[in-house]
Amino acid sequence: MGFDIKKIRADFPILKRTVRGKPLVYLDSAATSQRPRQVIDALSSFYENHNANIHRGVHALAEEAEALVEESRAKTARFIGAPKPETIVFTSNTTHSINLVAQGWGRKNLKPGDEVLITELEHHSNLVPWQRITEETGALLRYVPIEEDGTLTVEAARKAFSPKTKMFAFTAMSNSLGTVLPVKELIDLAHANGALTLVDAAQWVPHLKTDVAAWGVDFLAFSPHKMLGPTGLGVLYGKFDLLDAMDPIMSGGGMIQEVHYDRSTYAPPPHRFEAGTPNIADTAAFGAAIDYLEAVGMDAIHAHEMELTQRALEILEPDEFVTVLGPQKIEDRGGVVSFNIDDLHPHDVGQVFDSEGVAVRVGHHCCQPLMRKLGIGGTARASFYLYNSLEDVEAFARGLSKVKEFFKVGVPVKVS
Amino acid sequence: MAEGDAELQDLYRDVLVDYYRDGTFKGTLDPHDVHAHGVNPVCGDEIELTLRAPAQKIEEVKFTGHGCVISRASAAMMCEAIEGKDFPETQKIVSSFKRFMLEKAPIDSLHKELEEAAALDGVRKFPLRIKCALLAWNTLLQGLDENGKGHKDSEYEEKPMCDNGAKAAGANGAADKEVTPELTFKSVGEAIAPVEDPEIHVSIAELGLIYGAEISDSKESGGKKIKITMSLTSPACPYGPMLLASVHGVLAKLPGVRDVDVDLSFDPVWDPKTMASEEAKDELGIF
Repeated sequence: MGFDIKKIRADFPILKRTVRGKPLVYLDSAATSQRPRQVIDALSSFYENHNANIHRGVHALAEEAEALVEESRAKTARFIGAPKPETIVFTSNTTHSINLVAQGWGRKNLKPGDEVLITELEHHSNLVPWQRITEETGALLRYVPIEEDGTLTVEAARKAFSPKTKMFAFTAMSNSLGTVLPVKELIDLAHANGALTLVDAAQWVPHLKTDVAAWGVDFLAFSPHKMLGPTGLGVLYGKFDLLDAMDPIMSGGGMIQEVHYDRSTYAPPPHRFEAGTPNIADTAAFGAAIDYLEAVGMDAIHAHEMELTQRALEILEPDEFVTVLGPQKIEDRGGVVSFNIDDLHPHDVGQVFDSEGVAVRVGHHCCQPLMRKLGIGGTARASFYLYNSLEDVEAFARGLSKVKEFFKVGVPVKVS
Repeated sequence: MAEGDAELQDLYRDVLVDYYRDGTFKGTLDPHDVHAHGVNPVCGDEIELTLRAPAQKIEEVKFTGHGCVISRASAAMMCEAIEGKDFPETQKIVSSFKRFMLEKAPIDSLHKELEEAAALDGVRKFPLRIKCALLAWNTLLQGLDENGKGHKDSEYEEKPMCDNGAKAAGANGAADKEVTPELTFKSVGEAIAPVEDPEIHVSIAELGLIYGAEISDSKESGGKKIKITMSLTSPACPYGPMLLASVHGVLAKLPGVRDVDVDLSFDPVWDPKTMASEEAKDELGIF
């Protein structure tokens, strides 16, 4: 359909509402995206027309519901370049996906003295699960250090590997700084060192073309709610043989082959990892989100986001009172801009933006160790998606001026 | 004034911004007689107070740290109010300020040194920000022991969600002893109504923390059994057990009640946006 921002915006009902008497300017898509009418309709259509539980249903509705779930699985596989639908496990979010690997793979394969490597950029969701499993197994958790500007070099990663490194888990794009990592090079490096890879692609899959086969990545985790889909759903891609060798971390209905009173055998992947009634409706609706993104085109989406990011940086960078965090070069960035204004607390900054109807996220962005390393308590963060316009960035600029004016940034004050 | 601005200016009065930016009390005194360190782990705000008070009289006070406009402005106002005061007078000033913030004491009841602190009036409408305003004052209190002596090194940490001396309801004005009215959901509701969240002073019923109530016949002869399912604003709330006990207490006092069962539930997790009453949301600053 080509990139028509007006047409795209018209598809997102929430963009019609006002906040504090002003049109909503939603710059928090890195936290969760908004949903187009097509996805909302797909969700209600499921409940209105096809709702039934899946697995072993022989009635028409159950068959339809099952077909919709499996269709979404196939679409997801195609969307990220996975070889077959059986490599796609539906979970409840990215965090769940990573825990599934940390526990399901780690418990079986990590021994005392083994090493798991992650980076200093990680979101808590790709850090805490590894802390836990390394503690449980006696393995060590090590970190690839980042550069001062929040980038990560292949060279730094190379030095961090040892013959004991069994897993390298890293984010493809930092949610807090916007850093885009050299994913392919890092995966090749890990494989050359005999380690497996897990890529936290929560900020990548929604914004950039993903090809797991070309990357050769072993596991990839992401969340539909950051890519126009429903909340409460996550995706884990894994190479089939690796998934097949993994134990489930949850057991019960829907994940078995045969159950006896004294023993059970498990179903093959992906169903082995989907115990219990899954999130059927949201999985069905996720298919509509993929359709939407494919129709617009991931390359066009990324180009549009980077145009907005460029404009935002043009506003922020020359400002003597603004500190922009993250990579200096825009080529190393995605559509996320993290910044601080003077010595203002991010909560105060966010409050003023909110008074202008501009939604930005403030705080540590679930990256406390990273914030500590950078010596800051948190940041304000604007993140862009396909439905944001250049007008949104101008509203952001007005918000920025208002923050400075309101808190008298740069004005000498003396009260007593 | 635009819609969003009224709220903004309620929270951040102009004078607050001035105190926030002012540098008069910023810094560290060395040597010093009192040193107190305080943190609010919820938002990461941190303050370090140093006092020169050789004869238990504050000759000079400075603070460093980081925090939001409200916490920094409040700290500067505090320093201004206590400089030159002896410890007993300082205690009075701090108590007056805490009563103002926490118990909604009227502005004209504020200690005379707290004229400027009245600008924090608007913050009282935003219960989640009250802690920001209190950090410096609680840290100072920690630094002055109850005998009126100063501590060289004291540590203060705000507790999540609940902080001050609790004021949850004990008695509820109790029911009439003469006539035993029929136990209804209405009387259960009325009994619970005065129970407040101790930090934000909003009724837990208004907050939507009561998830359900059941009235049935108690196994004990002739009495009724009430089962309440309720939640807390945060699973970490240290006043949780006390709140449950308060609810239990007020219900047990209802006439004809033999058995009270208070169940705690975090399913669903409490969300003020969807669960609290309009009045409570107003109190909480959720619009």
